[in-house]
Amino acid sequence: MKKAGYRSRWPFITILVILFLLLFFVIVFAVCTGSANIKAEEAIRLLLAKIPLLGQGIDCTESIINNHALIVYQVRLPRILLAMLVGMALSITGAAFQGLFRNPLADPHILGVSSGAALGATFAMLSGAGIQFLGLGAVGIAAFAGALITVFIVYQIAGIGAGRKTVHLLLTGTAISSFLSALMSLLMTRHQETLEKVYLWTLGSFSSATWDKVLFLILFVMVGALLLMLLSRELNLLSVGEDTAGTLGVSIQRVRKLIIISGSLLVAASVAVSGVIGFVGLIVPHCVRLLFGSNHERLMPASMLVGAIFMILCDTIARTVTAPSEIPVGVVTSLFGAPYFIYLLYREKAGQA
Amino acid sequence: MDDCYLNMVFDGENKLREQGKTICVKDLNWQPEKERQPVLDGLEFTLEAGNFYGILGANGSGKTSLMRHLLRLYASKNSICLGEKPLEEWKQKALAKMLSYVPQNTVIEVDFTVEEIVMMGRTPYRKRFEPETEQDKQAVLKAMQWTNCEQFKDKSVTELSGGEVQRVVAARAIAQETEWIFLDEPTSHLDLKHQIELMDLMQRLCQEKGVTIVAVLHDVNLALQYCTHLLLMKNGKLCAAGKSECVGTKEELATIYEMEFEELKLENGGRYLIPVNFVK
Repeated sequence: MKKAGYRSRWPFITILVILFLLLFFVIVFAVCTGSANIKAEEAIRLLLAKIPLLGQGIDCTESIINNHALIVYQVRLPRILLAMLVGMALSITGAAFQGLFRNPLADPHILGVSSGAALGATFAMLSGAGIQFLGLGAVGIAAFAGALITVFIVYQIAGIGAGRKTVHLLLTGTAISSFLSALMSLLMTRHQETLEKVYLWTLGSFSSATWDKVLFLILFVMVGALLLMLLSRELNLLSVGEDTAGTLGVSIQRVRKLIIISGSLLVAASVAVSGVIGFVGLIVPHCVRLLFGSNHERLMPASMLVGAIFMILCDTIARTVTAPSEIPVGVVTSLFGAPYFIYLLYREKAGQA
Repeated sequence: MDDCYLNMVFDGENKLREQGKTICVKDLNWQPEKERQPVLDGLEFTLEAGNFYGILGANGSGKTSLMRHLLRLYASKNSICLGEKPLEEWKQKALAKMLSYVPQNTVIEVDFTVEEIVMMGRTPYRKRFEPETEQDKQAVLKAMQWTNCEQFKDKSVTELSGGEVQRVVAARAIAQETEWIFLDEPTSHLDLKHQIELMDLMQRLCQEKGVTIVAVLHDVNLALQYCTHLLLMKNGKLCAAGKSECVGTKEELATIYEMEFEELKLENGGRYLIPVNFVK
């Protein structure tokens, strides 16, 4: 008998409020943490001052605060917000993909997004092009394009025709993924001088965060997350079974396409600004499911908030533990993620016995 | 004996037709790519509301394929009409208010509560942004009472036994408030008691609420006992179809299952068929 998740007895709105407050305190904590010593009270004042209407009465003109304001607004805040948005995007996409594919091990990168992005980024690093667009450098643009082209190819191969099953998408995604990774390895053995750069990129980092990137990502997160949340009832039905969804009035082909498009845009945009960050999109939805069950109407908003909190904490660890140098954030998330992943596998096996 | 058999060709004057109370199948053929034999071969019959239909046939005879076509899970190129319109012309939601489905051996691995699963049956009636209405709640409550699921409505479906899950899925179909309920081998994973329980439930739905039941069944005797009409299939063709008092003779069953049967008369007037190959 499979163990059912512990269900919180609190109303969901209370949980959302708690998660929002938690997110705010984690942001404050992250603002305070670092080489420049900023006090929590200062951080809160600086943050509130930027909130429209509320912030007008807050005075930030004292000289110490003024110095710190520069660090907070120009260095730490864009980085924290970027981590928050990437955490949100990866987690909600993970939740949606796990529901859509009815596979607990599905993650946002399952359709080949990350290897497509990595190959694109490798090309850009090798070519040394210096374009700028929407706050993204050449590497970001190439990664974004590579990610989307890959998903498009995977979908073209596996996604058409009523008879095609959703599992074909998963398998095709995995196959294309290995193919592209192999191409990337081939390129890297030929150009060993960029090896380290590419490798570091694939582990993910928020160190190059700018407000432009935040604005770029916020657009995608707003549209993509809204679309996914609008489809949460359809996702509930699909996660129970495609035949069930079909006989309850869901146009499976259309919903599947919409989920894949919104999810892929979210992930492609995240990868473009931060590189490939693993495990977040896999483990956060699972944690949330244990607390609130599989209903996507609750799962997706809660995953977004938990993902944001988790990512900010991971990034804070990544930039402070070995300061002044940094650990790639993908390393931190996986260090936390891998043990949990093993626990999950173990739990599934125990359930079958 | 004549009115025993189903009207295979629809006469077009049936009043029921206007209200979507007939399903009229005409020249239904289906041969998937790579298959050498057609899975469905020139099927032609009419189903009428208010009856309890059982579809019998050996494995691979096309029973499940037929049911998937009737539910529009496979496209049928205008050879099936629900009421006056071909299935293809029905809007997705309108169709979901007419036909509901209890799939084969349902295993639900996602952590929903029983009530959430039954509420899914209300999907065709709910608007996107609206919370569940009083009507939805009533329909869900009644469906759970019908199927005796109410006592575990807050439990997770992952904690339930096979028989309980089947009842929950039946409750979802009832909450969908459709004219027709389709069941694909609903009893195949249930023990004797739960088989009878589920078939009793379907019979009550049919008799008391006038819901038309169409069930693919493996158990010949369950079918004889509960179904008002039987459709016998072999190799994608319809061998015989009609009222269950006369269709499903031991000769007909011998043809579709390719084995000998012995017939027992029951005290209630029913028949019980025993496959003789297994009786020494």
